[in-house]
Amino acid sequence: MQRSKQQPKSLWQRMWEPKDVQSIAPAKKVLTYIVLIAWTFVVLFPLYWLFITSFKLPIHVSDGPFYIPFIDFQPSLHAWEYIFVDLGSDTLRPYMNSVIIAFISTALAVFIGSMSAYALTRIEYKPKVGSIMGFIAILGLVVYLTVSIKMAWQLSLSIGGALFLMFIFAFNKHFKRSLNNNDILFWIISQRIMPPVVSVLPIYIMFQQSGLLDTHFALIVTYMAVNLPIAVWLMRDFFARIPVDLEESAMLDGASRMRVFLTIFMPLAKPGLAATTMLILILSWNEYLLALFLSTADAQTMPLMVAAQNATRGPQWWYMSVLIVVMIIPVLIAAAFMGRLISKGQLGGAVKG
Amino acid sequence: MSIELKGVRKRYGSVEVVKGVDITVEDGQFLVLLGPSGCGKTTLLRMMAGLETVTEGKVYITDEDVTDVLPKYRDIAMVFQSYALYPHMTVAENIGYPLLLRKTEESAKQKAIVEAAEKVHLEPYLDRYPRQLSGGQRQRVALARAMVRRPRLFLMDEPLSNLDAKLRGHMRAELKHLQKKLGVTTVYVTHDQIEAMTLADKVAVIHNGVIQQLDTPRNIYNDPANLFVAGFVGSPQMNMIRGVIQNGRFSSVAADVHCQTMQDHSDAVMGVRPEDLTIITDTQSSQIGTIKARIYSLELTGDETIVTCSIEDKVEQAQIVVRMPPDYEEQIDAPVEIAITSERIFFFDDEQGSRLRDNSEQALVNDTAMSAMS
Repeated sequence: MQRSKQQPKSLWQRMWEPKDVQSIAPAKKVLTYIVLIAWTFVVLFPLYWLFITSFKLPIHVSDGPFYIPFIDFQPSLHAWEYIFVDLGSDTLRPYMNSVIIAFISTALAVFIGSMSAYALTRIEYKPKVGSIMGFIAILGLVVYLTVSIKMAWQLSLSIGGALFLMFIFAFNKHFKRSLNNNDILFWIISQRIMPPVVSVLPIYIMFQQSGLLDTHFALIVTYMAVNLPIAVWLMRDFFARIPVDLEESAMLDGASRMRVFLTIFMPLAKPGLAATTMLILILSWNEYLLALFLSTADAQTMPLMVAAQNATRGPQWWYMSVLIVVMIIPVLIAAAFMGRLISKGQLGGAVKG
Repeated sequence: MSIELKGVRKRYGSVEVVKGVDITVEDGQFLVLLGPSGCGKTTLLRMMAGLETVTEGKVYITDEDVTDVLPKYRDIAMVFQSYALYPHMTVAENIGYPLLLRKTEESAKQKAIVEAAEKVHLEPYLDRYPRQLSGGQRQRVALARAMVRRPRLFLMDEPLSNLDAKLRGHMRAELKHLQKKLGVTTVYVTHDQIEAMTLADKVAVIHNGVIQQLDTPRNIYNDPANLFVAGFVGSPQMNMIRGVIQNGRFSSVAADVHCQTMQDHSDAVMGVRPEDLTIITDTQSSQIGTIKARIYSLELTGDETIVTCSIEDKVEQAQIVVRMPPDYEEQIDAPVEIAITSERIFFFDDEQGSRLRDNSEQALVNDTAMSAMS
């Protein structure tokens, strides 16, 4: 093979070849930035449009498009006045509802989800297939007794519980086939595979029967339950990366499992916790379908309020824009706060090095 | 505090990794569990700690049955191979964690942390995080954390194996010094026989889940119980030569040695350590025996030359290792004669690996030439 001395490169070559292995060729750099700028525009333009629309009069929207305030059109505060002065507490209530429901349900989902994720990474479960079948059969029996024979549910549940206990003590050790942690995890995730519409009617009836429709409680519990699988699934991955040695060492030092979880696992999984919290917060914050069924007035959330601006007179874009602009703010604050945690690596120096 | 294992077994499904182990470690003693990887030594240690359940048998700490006691109630400190430092805590917080869990008073805690840090020379690093420390410093943090609360027992799972060779030697001395000073009973797991020999009061050599020999390092080296112990302990390894014992003679393909008091045995192995061999010139002769060989390689370590020789053998290409003075030099492939210089020669049963012992004192008489196979 010929190994000639360094020959002067042509301009074309210098354009398309990097100076060294750590850099990008100039031409490729230019292309990369063109694509990035184009994509930035795609992402940011809707936000800009939203922002200026909130300052437009209806006539500016219908006669538009107008792009630049003060030049194309004279901005007006009429929509902001309507939302915050005319509607006043009618805006504040859904806003506070959204804050309360989204933040509480997210906190619960992440905390409970983390605990089950911890259990799934560190404790080995072996539920017997036969026992699960038995449980389902006895559940069927309880439903039958309650619905068809009109037995009081307290009685049928007690009978079912007693039967199940007897069944477990008598047969559990004789069953051979058992499931493992991965099966449990898949079962949990499978709850999220089904579209929520499937379960929204039973959930509606459940809260209707218990008289909890249109309460914070109903929405918090539902959002928490819906988002738990995501929390478990994400957190399990983060916990699985924490070396077992840390936990065993802490246990020998005298820590209980709860202590290990709170003082070792949670701090170390901070980036994962932040990412999971952020994701679930956004999901709950924007949730529409369940809120539509479970709330009417008192517990109404912001997405419903925004949708409500699409009234008989057609969509009132200017009011919607105001609502959406104020809706973005808490999520932005949360994202800025969480983002700092996400970028921090925590496991350095745990084991070896 | 003493720890005692009685008939301890551990099974994972149908696989038995610990097959009935009895060990007693006296108060203040340093016991090393030595064995190749997968021999069950770490499982044994983890059963002492309570991190692994015991399938059969009992574990006692100072006569108290702790077989089913949770680790946190056993008052044991363990140093892990990975050090297991809490990365989100400073060195001081790491060392103080066991005291925090015991709700020790703040001033007493600080005092204990500083004391423990002094013992391992870590005072300047108390505010650092583990990721800012070198491997040796992390190792010392782990030691300090183990010492800070004066546990009943130290358990150490290959604590030095992640350090580089130089630091390992230094930490070995440090460990031994600290253990003697604190007088805490220690059980130490390693696969490194030098660590075992240097640190231990007693060594338990473990193979296939069974204790092969439990004795002082000196006896393990000078009086191995079987072929496995003989081969595992010592570096370079003991040379093994297969042959037959008949009429008071050990003979191989082209050699025989008088071993008058030994019983006849058809599948015998003779073991002789590299330091009990020397390469002789034509003019010299040996009182005990010689082996004909060819030089295979020479490795100068500084204070000695390790000479590997290939043995002239039709059946198998075998090697034999001899320790020579550092000034020894020879061409590769040169034919040499190796002499046995000591009467420390061991015989084993080739199949069972058990030691063949004579009735009276072992006497070996040199025969003319001796070649061997192994």
